[in-house]
Order: sequence, then C-alpha cells, then structure tokens
Amino acid sequence: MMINVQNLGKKYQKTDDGRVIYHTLRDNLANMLTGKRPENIYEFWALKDVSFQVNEGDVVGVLGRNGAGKSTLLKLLSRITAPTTGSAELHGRVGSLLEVGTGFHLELTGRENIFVNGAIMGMNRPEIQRKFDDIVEFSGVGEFLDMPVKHYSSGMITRLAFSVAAFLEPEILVIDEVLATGDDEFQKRCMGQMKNISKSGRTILFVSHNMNAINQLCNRLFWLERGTLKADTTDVYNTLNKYLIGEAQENSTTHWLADDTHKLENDYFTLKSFALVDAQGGALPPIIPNDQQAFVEIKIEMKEYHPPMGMGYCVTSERGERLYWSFHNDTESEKRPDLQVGEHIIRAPIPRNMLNEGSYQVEFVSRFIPYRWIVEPGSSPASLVLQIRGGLSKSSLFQQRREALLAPEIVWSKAA
Amino acid sequence: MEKTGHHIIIQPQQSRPLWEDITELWHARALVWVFAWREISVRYKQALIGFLWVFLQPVIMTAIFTFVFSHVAKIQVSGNYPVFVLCGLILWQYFSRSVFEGCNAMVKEKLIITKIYFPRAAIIVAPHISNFLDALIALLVLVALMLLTGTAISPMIFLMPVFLVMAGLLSIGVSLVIAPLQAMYRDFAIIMPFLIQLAMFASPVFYPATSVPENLTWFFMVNPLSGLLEGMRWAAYGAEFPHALALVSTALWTIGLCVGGLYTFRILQGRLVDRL
Repeated sequence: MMINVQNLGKKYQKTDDGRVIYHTLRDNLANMLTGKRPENIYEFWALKDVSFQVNEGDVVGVLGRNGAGKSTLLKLLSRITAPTTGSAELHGRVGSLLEVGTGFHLELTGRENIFVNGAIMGMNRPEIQRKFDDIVEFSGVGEFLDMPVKHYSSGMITRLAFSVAAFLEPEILVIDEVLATGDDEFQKRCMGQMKNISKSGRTILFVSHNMNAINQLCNRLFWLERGTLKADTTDVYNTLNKYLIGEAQENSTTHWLADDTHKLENDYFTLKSFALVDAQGGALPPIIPNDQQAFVEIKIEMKEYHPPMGMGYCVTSERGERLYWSFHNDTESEKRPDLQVGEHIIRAPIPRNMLNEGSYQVEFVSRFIPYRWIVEPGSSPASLVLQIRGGLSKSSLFQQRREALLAPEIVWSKAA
Repeated sequence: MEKTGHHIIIQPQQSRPLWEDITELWHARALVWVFAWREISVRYKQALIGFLWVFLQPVIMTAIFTFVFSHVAKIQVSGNYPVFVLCGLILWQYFSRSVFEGCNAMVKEKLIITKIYFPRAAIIVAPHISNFLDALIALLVLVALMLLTGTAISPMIFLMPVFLVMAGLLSIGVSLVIAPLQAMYRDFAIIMPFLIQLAMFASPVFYPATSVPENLTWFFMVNPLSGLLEGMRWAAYGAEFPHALALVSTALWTIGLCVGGLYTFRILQGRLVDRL
C-alpha cells in the first residue's frame, strides 16, 4: 500500500464574504485580552473525514466541482498545509505539481531553472545531471536553454515544469490540472509519460477537468463533494458519466422563481420570475441548438418607476467573459415596453446563431442608466444557464465548434 | 521500481523528535545551496554594477561612519578608526541583512511555499549563505584598508569568518522565531527594521564597548553581538579579546534561539501557509 489516509479533515476560517481572514497582531491581542471572538467569522470544512487507501500503480483521478475539496486534498498529501484532523501515511517520495512554473525564477535561464526546480522537488545535483538530457528533450525547449525564462512563452514554461516533475521519478506523483495548459501535442506526450510512470509501479493522483484524460489514464476515481468522498470506485467510465449527467442537470436551471429562499426585492421592484422560454412562452429544454430562438422572460412587479431605470439581462461565457447586456429601454421610447407601477411580463430574444456552442450564464440585471447598478452582473441572485449544442449552420462545412468567442452564421454575397 | 524507503506521516501536529527536523534540513542542504546560489546569481544579473557594489558598499559605509563618528562625534578608539569601524560593520551588515532577509523569507517565497513542499527552514538559512559571500568580499576590503593605513594584521585574522559564522547562527535562530510570525502578522514587517536599527545603536558597532559607562557594562555582557564584534577586532588587529562572559552569552543566546526557533517553527509552519 502506498497511501493510507484516515479521517483526514481540514478546517478553514473565513469571513462572511468568503475572504480568508487577515490578522493583525493588534486584533489578535485585543481578542485574546477581551476573550471575544472576532465577528463575522465562520469555520468551514474544506475536507471532512476522508479515508482511503491507494496501492502501487494506481492512477487515481480526482473529480469534483469547484470547492469540493480537490485542491485541499492534494495540498494535504503534498504536505503544503497541515490537516486539522486525521492522518495520512505515504510510503515513498512524493512529487507534486500543483501549479505550473512554481519555483521558476524569471531572471534565470532554463538550464538554471531545471536545477533550481529539481532541487526544490527534492533531487540532488547528480540526480538532476543524470536526467538533465531527458528533461530537456521531453520539454522541447532545447534551443532556448540558456535564455532567461522571462523570454519564454507560457507554453514553454509549462512544458519545462512538467518535464522536471515527470522525470523526478517520485513514487507518488500528485498533479493538479496541469494538462489544461500546453498544446495538444504536448498533452499527448504528458499522458504517455504518466502512463509510463504508472506502469513502472508508481502511484499518481491527479485532478483534471479533462474527462478524456481521466477516462484514459485512471483505473480509479475519487469523486469529492462538499469536502467528503462521495464515491471511490474502479468503475471509472460509468462514474464519469454519472458525474457529467449530474453536472448538466444541476447546471440546467432555465427558470428562476421567487420563493422563500430566492428573493430579489428592493425599493423599486420585486422580481417574480426570470426564465428562458421558447417562442410560445413554454419552458426551454436544458440544451438547445444554436439556431433555435430563445427568449428571456421577466415577470416583475414595479413599486416605483423612473424612466432611466433599465431592466435587462446579461450574458456571460463559461470562462467569465461578459458578452453583452441589454436593457428594456435600449430602444427609442415608442418601442419600449412601458413599466408603470404594477405587474408586468416582458420578453426579449437572445440573438440566435450568434453565440458559440457552450454554456452561458444569463443574469437578470438592472441599472439606473448611466449612474449605478441596482442589480449588477456577476452578483445577480437571478441567474440562469443557457447551453448550446449544435445547430451552428445549415452548411455541412460549419458543423464543428470553432475556437472563438462567438459563432455567428453570416451570409456572404458576391460584391461584383 | 526502486524503493527509496521514504516514509511520511502527515498529522495535524508533528510528533517526531526535534533532531529529525535537523536531519531533514541537513538532507535538504543541496536545496539550501540552490536557493543561496539563485539569490547570488539573480543579484548580480539584475544589478549592472552588482559585483562592484559589493566592494563599494563597505568602502562608502566606512567613509561615512568615519566622518560622522570619528570626525564629528569624536569617538576615541585605540588604533585606526576606519579599520575599527569596518571590522564592526562587516559583522553588523552580515547579521542585520541576514536577519532582515531571514525573517522576510516566508513572505518573499510565498508563491513557492503555497505550492510545493520542501523543508521550510531551507529558505530561512539560504540568505545567510548568500550574504556570507558578500561578507567575505568585505573582508578583502578590510585587508586592503589595513595595508593602506599601515595597521598591523594579526595572525588571527583567519578566525574572522568564525565570528561571522557565529553571527549567522545567531541570526538563523532569530529568523526561525520571527519568520513564521512575520508571515502570519504583517505587523512584524514594520517592527523588524526598527528593531534592527535599534540593535545597531545598542551594540558596539561604531563605538568601543570599553567606552560605555561602568554601570552599563552588564548590558554589553548580555548583548550577544558585543562579544562577536569585539572578537572581529581582536582577530583583525589584536584588539583586546572579548570578555569571556560576553562570548558565553552569545553561545547561550544562539543555542536558545536555535532550539526554541526550531520548536516554534515546527508548530507554526503547518498553519502559516493558510494565512499567507
């Protein structure tokens, strides 16, 4: 057995707004003297009561949503931070790669950085020298070896960092989402290298959002949810699917309805509902093709109305890029829906054949134009998810997702 | 696969004996060298006059101190004042810079510490080595100055690095205690430079310990730096050998701070990452 984890737990303290608390000595002394606990601080378990055993040659993929405890688990196992409860026993040298480029000094050359990084990971000089050529060859940065790393591209730094970690030959390798960067070619080589590592009896634990990589590499899967181990299984393929379906369902909120827990109310209005609907006003399926017309429908009760007050929606991509927002009073006054005091249902289309395949956040927003937000994008309580698959175009030549923010279908014509 | 025989136990609180902390650090000595070497090479790569600066600094400092304390304040010493003050400055600069950098090491290397494990004490020890090089170069300046002023060089001059090493150990002890605190409470970043400055005035750097009033001599026996500063002068040009009590106090402080430092460091190091 390589890893034996018993009841491992990690507790953090945070403030109400989710910040880790910043201590000053004065505050701590004052609190100590008065015996008072600082306000607005709550404790939460990033990881709670997790136990498992991992054997030689196991390649374990770690799954879970943001905040499920994946990174905390890797940080504990790589001894970066100490657990609050429980214990973990590791039999073998641990190499961890939690962030690419850690320990790289920009002023130093690639060659010098290999030695620095190797030493940080626990290699001694002869060991590094022995593996130096392999590292350089694998990374493919050979010709830039004597150039300061500050002139490298981020891809080159990634490749060099992974190469150092991969050739350290630790008995236990802990990797956090490094395959997300780097080109396809290099990712394939990384995967190959990780397969080699596991074949030689070493153990790998890795977090990835790349489901293909997990499916190909792992013979075991940990599924973390809210800090606990929801599943520990060797049935990788089926569990992955279950996870993906669960994620799609959870994300497929196409309807927001005011109730006891969901409220959006202020001095000007009360939001009653906010939904994605089709042309007939019926509920939209969780995933639609790009050529289907979707509408945003807002049911609102106005308590007070001022003409510069705009009600609208904002579309944000999965990666957080704000694509646009639109208000009901963006058009000339005759064409706007009139929002006098009372209840109204207003509707606006989301342009079809414009967004790309993917998942989008659609939020209710409101603003005193142009002064201040009443409900700001990014923090709106009423938020929906629009998922688009397929329907990019009628042309057989435009069926594949393009790596671009938008995928409009644009009609071309002959100019002369 | 070859077994390396590593066996790691991760627990809320380390339960292994203290000497294992020291052996772990000893095994990581290659890393200490790498950190020190990185510091040195970056220092000289970045600064155009980097290497020249190492020579210039003791020269300029000596000139200023000589002007202020010998010509203006008229402090009397046996022998040549520039030689006297440079002997003290070399040790003082080495000590104060190492304390400053050692205490700040955890904050400075925050990015590495939060992403990768290695014996944390390594980054605290490393600046003591890179600064040692500067101190050795400053010793060359001292020799040149002594030749220039016609001061007789004592055969004991080869013992000067020994006093520097002792100052380094003392500084490591201080840093082990303060560094984790400075990482957790940023207040220390403000207090430390002030305390370091205060310590210079409280130590016989630019004045001889013999010139202080009798009723304060006890203070210079307790001050762990005074024995070392006087030791530097004894080794360089045969000034009076430091009082035995002063050296005993240096040893006691060093041992106490290093052992206590290793203890507090192990208690705090697991927690401070969450607060960086």
